[in-house]
Amino acid sequence: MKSWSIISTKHTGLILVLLSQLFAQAVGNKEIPITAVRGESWISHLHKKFSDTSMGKTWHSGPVAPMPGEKSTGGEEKLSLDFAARTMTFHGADIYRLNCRGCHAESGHGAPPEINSVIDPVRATSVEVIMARMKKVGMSMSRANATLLARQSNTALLDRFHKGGQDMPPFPQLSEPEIRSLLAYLKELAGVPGAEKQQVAINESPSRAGEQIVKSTCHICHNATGPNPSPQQILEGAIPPLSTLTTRTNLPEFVRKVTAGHPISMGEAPMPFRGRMPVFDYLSEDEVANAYLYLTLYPPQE
Amino acid sequence: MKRNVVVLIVVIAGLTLAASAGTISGQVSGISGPSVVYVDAISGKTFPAPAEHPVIDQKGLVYQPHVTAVLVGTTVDFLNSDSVAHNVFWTSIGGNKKLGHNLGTWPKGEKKSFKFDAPGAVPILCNVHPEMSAYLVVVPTPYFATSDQAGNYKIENVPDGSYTVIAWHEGAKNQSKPVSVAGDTKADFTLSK
Repeated sequence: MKSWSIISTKHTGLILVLLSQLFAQAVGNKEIPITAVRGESWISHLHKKFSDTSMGKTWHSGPVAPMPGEKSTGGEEKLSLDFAARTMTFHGADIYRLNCRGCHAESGHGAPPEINSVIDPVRATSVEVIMARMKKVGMSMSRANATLLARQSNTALLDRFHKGGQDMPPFPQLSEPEIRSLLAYLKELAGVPGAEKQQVAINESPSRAGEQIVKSTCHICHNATGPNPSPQQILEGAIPPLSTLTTRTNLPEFVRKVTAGHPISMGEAPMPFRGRMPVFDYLSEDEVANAYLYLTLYPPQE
Repeated sequence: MKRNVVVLIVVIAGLTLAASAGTISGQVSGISGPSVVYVDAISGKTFPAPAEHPVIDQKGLVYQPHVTAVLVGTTVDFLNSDSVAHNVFWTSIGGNKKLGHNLGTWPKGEKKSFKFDAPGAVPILCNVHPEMSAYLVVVPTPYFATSDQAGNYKIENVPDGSYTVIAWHEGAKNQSKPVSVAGDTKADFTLSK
């Protein structure tokens, strides 16, 4: 595995990207092209300090990273040799994991009041749930009226995905099939009756999977471009931009840092520290390797 | 000279008002939280709706205030102060399901208005957030008041006379009683759910 070079992964990846686009056209999906991540991070956009966010305060994304000298559980050994050559089959649960879970948590409840729960806005899109709720409070409602309410809530939810909100970024990178698959899973997560039977699988190219992780999760805190911070600047709270990550770390280091945590040099006399980044142990090593591949193939832009 | 006449008229008018208008006050007990107490329809009398629009806000996933009373014909503004989408609907007014209405969904900072022409209690809900609820009580006369949390209320400027006074509370059965107003008058209610 040490024999991998960026060049070879680059070529495999490029061929795959082309193939996946051909495939998408063949099945008639309106595919959204993969593009480079660009611009400031979402927390920079909100003028928020990482330490003031729920992610910065709670470590809710996974276990604490190991201290220097402690053994990190992750590593290259679990990485598939051909991660860049395989089309991944994703269900809505995976789309949720790659795009939503970083902020809204596994349960969908988020971290109120900073991050709202997804559960109620999703339940509001179900005619059955609305009718059952109204019956429970003794105000029976016609199916026609419940359908109208459900439709309005569905429009509002889709609007959220496409345009974002005051505190939530928009997700223009998600295609219609991806949104449909995600919606089906959100309904299952929110306990909408029968939703578990409506799950849809979709095929994703490695770069596409990487793009989703980078744009929806990494880009919340990491700016796309900017100067590579010194250990002293990192100690003072600087977050390295995405454009520097593939040169700051090699692929196995990157994968270990994201999935299991890895010490980082901080301070004037650089000393290894645990670092502030949450551990994303719910992402597989192949998925994180695809994020690295994507950052290499589509260098972040200003 | 002219000025003295004006003063005289004001004094006389003031005395007349003081002689014929009173208040109804008291306590609604047996339940907790705000109640609405109002003078029921007076036969042969109608009242012009006020020009101003009371506001029911949606803030922090809560309707504020929880209970609002308005004179029939009043236009109410529903505001969304939250950064999330809300929905405002009611399934009936005064138990009449034909008067159910869905105001829809609108973004932060915007409001939608609705003119309430039928009297009765309006349970207001949000489809997106099931825990959100509010009550609008549309009453037939301008003589009404919303009580404090302890149930204390005071209806001002009620002309002397005999009326039917009704106490409303969320989830409780209305209670009505005849009240003869002569100056400051007391009327207490005990409600049960």
